[in-house]
Amino acid sequence: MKNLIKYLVRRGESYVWDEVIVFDKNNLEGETEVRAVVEDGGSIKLKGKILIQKDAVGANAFLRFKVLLLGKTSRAQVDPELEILTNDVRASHAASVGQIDEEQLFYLMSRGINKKDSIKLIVEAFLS
Amino acid sequence: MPEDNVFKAKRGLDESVVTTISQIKDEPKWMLDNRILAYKKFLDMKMPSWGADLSGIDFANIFYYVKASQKTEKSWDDVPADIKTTYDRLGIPEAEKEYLGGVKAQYESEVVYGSLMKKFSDQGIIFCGMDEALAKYPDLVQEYFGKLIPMGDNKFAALNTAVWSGGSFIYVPKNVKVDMPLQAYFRINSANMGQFERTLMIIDEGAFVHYVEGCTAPIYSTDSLHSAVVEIFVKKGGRCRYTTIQNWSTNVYNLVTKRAKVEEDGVMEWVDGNLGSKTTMKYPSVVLVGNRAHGEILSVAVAGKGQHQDAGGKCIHLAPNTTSRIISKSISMKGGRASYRGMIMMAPGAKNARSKVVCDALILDKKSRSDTYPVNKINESEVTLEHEATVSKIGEEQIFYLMSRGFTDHEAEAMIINGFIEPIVKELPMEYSVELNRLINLQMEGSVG
Amino acid sequence: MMEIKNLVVKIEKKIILNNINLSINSGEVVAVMGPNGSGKSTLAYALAGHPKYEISGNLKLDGEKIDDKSPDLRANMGLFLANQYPVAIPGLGINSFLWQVYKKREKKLMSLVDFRKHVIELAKSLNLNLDLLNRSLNDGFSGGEKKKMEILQMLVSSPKYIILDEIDSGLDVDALKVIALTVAKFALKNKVGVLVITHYNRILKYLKADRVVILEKGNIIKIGNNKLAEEIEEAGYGEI
Repeated sequence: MKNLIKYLVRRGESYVWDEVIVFDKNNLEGETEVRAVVEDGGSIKLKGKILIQKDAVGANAFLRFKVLLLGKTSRAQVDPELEILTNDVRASHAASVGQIDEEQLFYLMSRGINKKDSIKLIVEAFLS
Repeated sequence: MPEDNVFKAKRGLDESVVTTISQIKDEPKWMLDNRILAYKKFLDMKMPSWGADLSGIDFANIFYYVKASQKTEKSWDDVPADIKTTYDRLGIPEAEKEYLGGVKAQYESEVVYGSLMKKFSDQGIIFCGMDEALAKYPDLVQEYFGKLIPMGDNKFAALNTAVWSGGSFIYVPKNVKVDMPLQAYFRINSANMGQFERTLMIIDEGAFVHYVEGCTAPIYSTDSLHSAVVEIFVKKGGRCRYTTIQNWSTNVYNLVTKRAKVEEDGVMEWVDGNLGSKTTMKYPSVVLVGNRAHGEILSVAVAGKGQHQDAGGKCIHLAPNTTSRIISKSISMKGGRASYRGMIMMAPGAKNARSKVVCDALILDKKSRSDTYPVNKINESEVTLEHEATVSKIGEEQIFYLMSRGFTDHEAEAMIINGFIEPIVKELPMEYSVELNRLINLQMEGSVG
Repeated sequence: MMEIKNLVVKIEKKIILNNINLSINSGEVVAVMGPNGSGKSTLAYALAGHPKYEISGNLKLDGEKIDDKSPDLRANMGLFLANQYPVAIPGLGINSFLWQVYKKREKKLMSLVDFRKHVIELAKSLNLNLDLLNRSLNDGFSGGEKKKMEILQMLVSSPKYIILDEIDSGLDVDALKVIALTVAKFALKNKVGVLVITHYNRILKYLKADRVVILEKGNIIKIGNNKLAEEIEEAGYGEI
């Protein structure tokens, strides 16, 4: 089961994603990814817990947060949590927060695309 | 000086206990006033609403001050059998066993240590007990004491500020690099293993010191609450590494507040090993206040039967170009619980700050538990943060691979676990890393089933 | 001799290998070839004692029954498996690991210092980058480096019987030649029985097989010599 949640946070907007994903004997596989692009003046809080119950033998769980901060006053808080109550499982999470990759920007601009449009393309790719 | 006989039998805490502690130590008035204020704060403050279960702490039933000599009123027979067995298995010499078991107050290596102390004082290095520092260098202590961890920081910081006794004081002058690790273990008096140690370290510009405390062998303590405070000030271009291996007996609540403030181009490294205690709450922190300051927290935690290790680290980036790294490795077995709790905070203005956090956890059996609770607050846009965590059991393919090379399943497990914690163990002084591996292997015996 | 009699291998009740009979003598090289899904790797794992397979039949090493023995006991008897996908064990230093593997089998030990020198010479003979010896086992290694690391382990573990599970897959021409010649020379000198499992003929150009066995859908369908391997090279498995 794969879930992809996307946010495009504009100036003045503030979003919170706060979920608990429970794994038990009836739900053993799951991958959730939340991607957010935060414009100048926007903020996002991503809080997610993977909870693997005692009877979730063989569970395979993954949670990822990826945040792209576009503007000087973009803000983010990412809190990926894990609570694992049995051992025969694989659970992992990852979170990354950063800005636009300079190399990607340069590459697109060197193909004749102006900065504004290049950023737009990168953001679209990030959220696709 | 008032008689301290009154303390022999007295449990619990009130203002008269605090006052008498200060008077027995003959402290300057500012410290007495500080203690009283802190005691009042302690009464006011609430227990933390997060973290491990601390409901078992019986504040009224604790001795808050015990004179050194009283601690030896214990015989070898009182030391629990499993601790004695561990000492045997680790090959610890007789004299050391008695010291660790709390039967003896002094360790013979004092004679060896005397000459080292002369060498240090020639270089202008101050390394003494906190009590002694307050008496000999009161201005220096007053300048820094409580400035990084104020009494209101949390309930246990308030408690420590009220009743602290013992701990280490270190001052390293500009550009002096202490060429050997300073080990609290050898600066022996039982104040080192005190319940409410207060440690203060000042590393002046360009200086370096590596301080090591604790030991891998289990330390039997009848005190059920250990609440220490460690404040470290790393000045411009200075570097400090603080290594702790904690293995308190499993009746102890170990609640420690440790924080370092790092100025421009300074480096702070916390190496933290949590093996013992019933419950540990400890999150070594670095506050990066200067340009290009760097902080590292390397943490290894082993949670066995009946234990909860709630540990991790905090990095607060307040300046540009600061970097931090947290590596946490935990193992839970036989019903133990290991929790990573961490915080990365990037304040506005911390341009080009970078942080990386890696938490790996091994759960060896289905009775045990592992958690990760990271908080990452990013209030500056031009930064990079990466965080990853993985929890799993020991891989079957890895076990098969090693068995196909002739190792038994127990040997294979031990090799895999030693490999798992290797990135942290390799940062420990040699004798610790050897002991640590052996200790974990001992703990695992019987855990395969 | 490594004897395989009436071997049936199942995984989760499904039959992968059906009534395999094969023996490999000391000093003999036997190649097992076949298309994908024929059960070649399963044979390697079953012989080494991988717990995920259910087996019935008779397996013997030098007359001693091994079918109920755990993988370490089989290794202690002189069986070495070179894995197709060697697993990584982060933090396990290679130098100390090799020393431990060596000690498990060798009765008369050389000194640790001499052993280290010996390992360096062996690594050089395999054209293995010496820096790798200071790393963790297979951690971040390329496919070719991992295969060479398997052979390096083989060279210090005094084996009597070697199973090479598709050691040639993912190897460049030079690496393949070095590994194949190393195994051939080692096997000849020490009278080691070799079971080389492969999809292609290439490795058999350097490691000459005394017998070639073709496996298809879990059954041995043909036995021959090197010429058989050459025919497959030319015409593929379909023609057999």
